[in-house]
Amino acid sequence: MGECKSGIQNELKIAGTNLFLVSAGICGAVIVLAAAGGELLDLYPVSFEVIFPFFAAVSVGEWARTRADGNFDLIAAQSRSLFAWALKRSAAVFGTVSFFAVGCMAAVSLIRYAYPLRELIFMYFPPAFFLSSLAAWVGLESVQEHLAAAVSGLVWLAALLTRSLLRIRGVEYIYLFICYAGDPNHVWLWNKGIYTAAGILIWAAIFRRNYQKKVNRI
Amino acid sequence: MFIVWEGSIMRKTGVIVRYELKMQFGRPAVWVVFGAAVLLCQLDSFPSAVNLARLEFLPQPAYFISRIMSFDVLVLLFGLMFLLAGRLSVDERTGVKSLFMAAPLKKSQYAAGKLVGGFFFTFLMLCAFLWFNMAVYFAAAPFSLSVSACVFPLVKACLVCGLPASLFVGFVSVALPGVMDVRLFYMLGAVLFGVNAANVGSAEAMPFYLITSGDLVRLIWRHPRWPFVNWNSVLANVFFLTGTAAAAAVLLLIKRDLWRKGS
Repeated sequence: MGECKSGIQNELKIAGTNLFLVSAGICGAVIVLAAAGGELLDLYPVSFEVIFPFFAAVSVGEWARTRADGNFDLIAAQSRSLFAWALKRSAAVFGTVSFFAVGCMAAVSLIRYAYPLRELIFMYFPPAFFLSSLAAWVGLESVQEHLAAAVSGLVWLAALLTRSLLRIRGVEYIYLFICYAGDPNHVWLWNKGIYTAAGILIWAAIFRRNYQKKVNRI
Repeated sequence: MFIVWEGSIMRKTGVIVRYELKMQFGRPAVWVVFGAAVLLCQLDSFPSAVNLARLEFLPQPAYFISRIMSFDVLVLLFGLMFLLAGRLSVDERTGVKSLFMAAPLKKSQYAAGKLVGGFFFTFLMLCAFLWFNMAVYFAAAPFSLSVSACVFPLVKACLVCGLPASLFVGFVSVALPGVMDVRLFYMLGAVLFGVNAANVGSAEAMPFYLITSGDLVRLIWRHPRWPFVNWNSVLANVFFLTGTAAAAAVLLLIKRDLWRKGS
């Protein structure tokens, strides 16, 4: 447990202060929007289901680089398992962004209350977990820089563009931004459960492929 | 590749532009993004019976090209934004910048080469995307089409919408990550692209800040019920795209630690 904690602390040191500064900046922007944006803005789904999950994915793709890290060979040669290292690195960054996101939810709720905090967490966590797991997986599969952020970004944008597919029966269960789309059939909890399971599946695939694997640079 | 110390200013910049194009077209990730955008485009606009029943104007080539310009090119440009964002930092990390700096190359020539390289790359990818999808549409359409009916809107889309959009994405994606944290740049880009994706077309003037679905697209195809063009909105759209690109280039040029002192 202690080893894990110090590992996460080390990963946060590697990530640097920009992770905290940029996260705080985005929280600040959302809080300012909440205070000045007016009632017309559907702030909660836009901020916590669309913007913050994308930021979590970009952060994991860029601050928690694995195979694209310049020191990958060195780290992989000294690690017992790539999985543990990748998990620690991703958890450190994802946890930090999520900490800021939850703080932002609490602050925004104080300014104008619309949803209970736990509902906002349910709104944020599954898409954020899914997109950042996808970024972590791509980051472990490819040495190409920025590809992890690009892939999760493309999924994110494609989901935004394909909102009209909700007219097809059943799509509401797998549409990434169901609360933002208005949740026409009230299935958002099912939808969030499916995305949480998809995130867990991605991590299971990472575990299967990288557990006890050492240097495997392409 | 690095023989840049002889020849004119244009030639020195041209060497960097060629280097940029060669590096970018050789990246598998670029073709992954291209393939994903083509797939999305074909799912949405392939002239199948279902899509023809769903989209009233799909038999018109001008509508097809304006539709893919509004939606699918946005996906392509979003992916290219990520892949262009590291063009300055990758030179530092791989030592290529030291090689360039060892040559009698000015900061403005280096920056211009990078920016123009980014713009050419984006424009060529966009043109390849539009021409490829139009070729599939032409070959698969279950109705007769003349070549000129397809080529004219295609050329118009490349020049009228493609040029300003490529300039915007090429310049901004190369320049801004050089002056700010790349993750912050991604967030700003994502907000802008997200607003573009969430915007619904209407008969009113479209917001000027749209990248591929602003009023410029109305110059390719117009809905028969709203055949007018709001020229003020078209100009505002052009000024936003080109002005932001110019501002990003200026920000890169005035950055002090981009190049050695005194150049």
